Amino acid sequence: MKEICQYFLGVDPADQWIPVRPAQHYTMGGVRTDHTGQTPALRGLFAAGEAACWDMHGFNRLGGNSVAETVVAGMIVGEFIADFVESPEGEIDIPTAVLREALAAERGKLDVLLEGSGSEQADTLKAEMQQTMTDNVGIFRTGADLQRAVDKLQELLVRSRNIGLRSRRDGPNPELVTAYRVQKMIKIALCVAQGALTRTESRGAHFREDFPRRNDAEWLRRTLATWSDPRATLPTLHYEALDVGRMELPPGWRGYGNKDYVDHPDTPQRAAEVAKLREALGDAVHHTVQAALMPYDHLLPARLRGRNERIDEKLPP
Amino acid sequence: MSSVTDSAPPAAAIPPADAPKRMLHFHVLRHDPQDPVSIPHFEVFELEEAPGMTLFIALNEIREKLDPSLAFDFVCRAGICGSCGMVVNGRPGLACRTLTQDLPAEISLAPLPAFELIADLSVNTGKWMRGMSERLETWVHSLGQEADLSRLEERMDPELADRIYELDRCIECGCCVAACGTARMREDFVGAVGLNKIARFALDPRDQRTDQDFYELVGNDDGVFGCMTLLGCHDVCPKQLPLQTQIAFVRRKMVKAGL
Amino acid sequence: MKPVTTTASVSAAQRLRRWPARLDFLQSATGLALGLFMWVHMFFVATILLGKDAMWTVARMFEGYFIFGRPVYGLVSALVATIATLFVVHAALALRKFPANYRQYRTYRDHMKEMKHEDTTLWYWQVVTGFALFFLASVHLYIMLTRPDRIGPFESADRVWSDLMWPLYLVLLFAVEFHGGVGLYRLALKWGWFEGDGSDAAGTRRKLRFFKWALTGFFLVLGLLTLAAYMKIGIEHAPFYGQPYVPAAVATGVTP
Repeated sequence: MKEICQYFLGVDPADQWIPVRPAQHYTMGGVRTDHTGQTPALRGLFAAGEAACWDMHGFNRLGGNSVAETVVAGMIVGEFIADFVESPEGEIDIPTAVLREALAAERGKLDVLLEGSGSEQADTLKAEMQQTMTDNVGIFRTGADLQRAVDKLQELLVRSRNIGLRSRRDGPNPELVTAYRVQKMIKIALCVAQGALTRTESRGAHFREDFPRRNDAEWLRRTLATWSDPRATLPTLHYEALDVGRMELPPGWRGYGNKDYVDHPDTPQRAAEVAKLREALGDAVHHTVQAALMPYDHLLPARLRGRNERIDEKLPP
Repeated sequence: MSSVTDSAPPAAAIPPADAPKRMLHFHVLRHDPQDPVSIPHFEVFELEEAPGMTLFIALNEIREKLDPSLAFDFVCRAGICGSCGMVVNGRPGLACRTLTQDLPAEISLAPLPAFELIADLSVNTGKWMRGMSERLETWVHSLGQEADLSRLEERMDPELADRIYELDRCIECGCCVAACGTARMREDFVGAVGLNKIARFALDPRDQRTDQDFYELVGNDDGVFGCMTLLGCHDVCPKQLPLQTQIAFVRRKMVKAGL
Repeated sequence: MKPVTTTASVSAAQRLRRWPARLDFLQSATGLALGLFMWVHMFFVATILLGKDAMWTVARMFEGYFIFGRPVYGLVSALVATIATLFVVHAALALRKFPANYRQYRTYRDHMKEMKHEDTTLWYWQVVTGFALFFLASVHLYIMLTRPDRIGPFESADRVWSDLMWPLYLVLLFAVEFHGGVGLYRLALKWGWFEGDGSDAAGTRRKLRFFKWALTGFFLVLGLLTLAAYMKIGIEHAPFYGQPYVPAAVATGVTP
């Protein structure tokens, strides 16, 4: 901590204040995938690590999550990708015309930026987006703030379709990179803001001052955003319900904070089931308990299904 | 204890708003090797200094306010990714952890030499590092024995693990190569980054290569015997790696293996 | 295609690959020997500051005078030949490190000017002085090899002054002290001598650098005083050029 202060701030924390402020560090979301890391939306597209919504860490993001994501997803998804590529399913034949079309479309977007007569500056849009998000989509959120953010971001999105570059050089052009990315950034920001506006409850890092309670009855659902119409200024939000009936640990009180939340209607029943199962199994080994509560072995790549050695559980040599 | 004195910021903490601010002049070497008419030249940008300003902040401000075409690389802005190495007033260093308050008002910035220039301050260290890694085979060689993932890893003495980790902190920023007179003169020299990697894998019990194997990789004048102990590497390393002692260690090992 | 005799070619290639280690070791070893010799040599030459008799005694000692009862100049020549061999080997090996062409030279110069880094700059001067030593030291070694009988308080002083060798010795002194000092300092860093457990490499280097400059300074002062002493004797002895020095004790027949 002392070194961070010295190297990056020029502050000696022994006798100077360390400036602290909240900042966006990470996006708690990603490409929706199934357990193999493949997206249901596009066959053959895999996502792993922090880019994926693979459910390893749920609605949470703590220091070190990225390491676990990388290591675990690398091992499991990596195996699935290799299997996929070797399987007949992995033989993907895409007509050259389709590729050419896609390439032309992307090239066209760059050309519009490079050669178009747009009047908006990418850096300005980025700065306005950042300010909007900082002011309205921060740690403590309200419906009014979020609505303001969504309105402003929509305006920015429209303006971002009229970006013009000041430096038109081809090749390594940082302004082009910013312009290309800022259009996508604003879309992501809209997904975050619109998702937060719609979600009228508080959960994990999403805290609504106007809806401070967690509400499993209505909101134990995953927000999925798509953008099928490129001219739209808002994402289409879908909600994917979570099946409490299959959970090993149905969502309950976390063991800290107030016991102030709304249960999912299925939770009491599932909690009772789990308790009953646990009681019935008594002192059974944890593999048996796991298999009874929530079996997952069959979801792993075949090669990784065996038992793992632990300090107190030696494997036969 | 009085809460007033407790909460009052220490005198030195935040400079008063009306404190005189320096105007900084950044002399930036500009060149686009892909542009046939581009000629390398210095361009001067003027910026007002802010408290705690790093070159990362300054360059971004220049790009946002003064010249959107200025090319430079940053990813982590925390001294971890190693992509912002550049020559600051003659010495290679990481821009993200160079504070302007430690520099004079006239600041010259140039791309790291010894690497392929992409444009302006942006260089392709990745290409060089990959070549080095492939040449020195900088990975654990378990020699045919695939690790069994279902078993516990072999235990390692914490002290040894610390020593390996100490060398593993290298972020491949390329500052050591740019600061090396030998590497500048002789393009094929592996540099301190390469020799440090050899020291790191030589320490690692999981790597089953022998000193003879390492000799095949660095036992020549492009390897450890090319090093002339100028120690520019050691003095500019942003991670303060013990390059001086590690290169000596590799040299002793390799002479023993070669004699 | 004829089968290749693999075993023979592999071992030949392996033998070839051993050479870089040997050459590197030899370069350091010859440098170390020459550097230490340089210091010892300076002490012997400087005995003139203790008086002509002291220097005369040292000179005769190397000729085996006190063992054989007469000077055996071959001993001096043999010593000079050994040093000359080390010198040639060291020069040949060090040559590998010189800039190979103007581009490399220019790159290094520019790099050095930009970096303003002491050890980088010192290397440049090591190369410059090393280059000068090719010529300066060769002259000196050749004279010592061919005229080992002309070493003594008057003989050496005549060479310094009347034979006009003092300008060469003056430049040689600076070149050799600088080159040797930096060389020994770099050897210690190169092989990790005095670094202890390596935890304070920077501290070791600071100390080494201090000693290096202190020793270079000391030997330069000693060398300059010594050269001045020979020049003074040379000026006084110029009218008697060629006459060897004979200590009073020897002249009067008293065995020293």
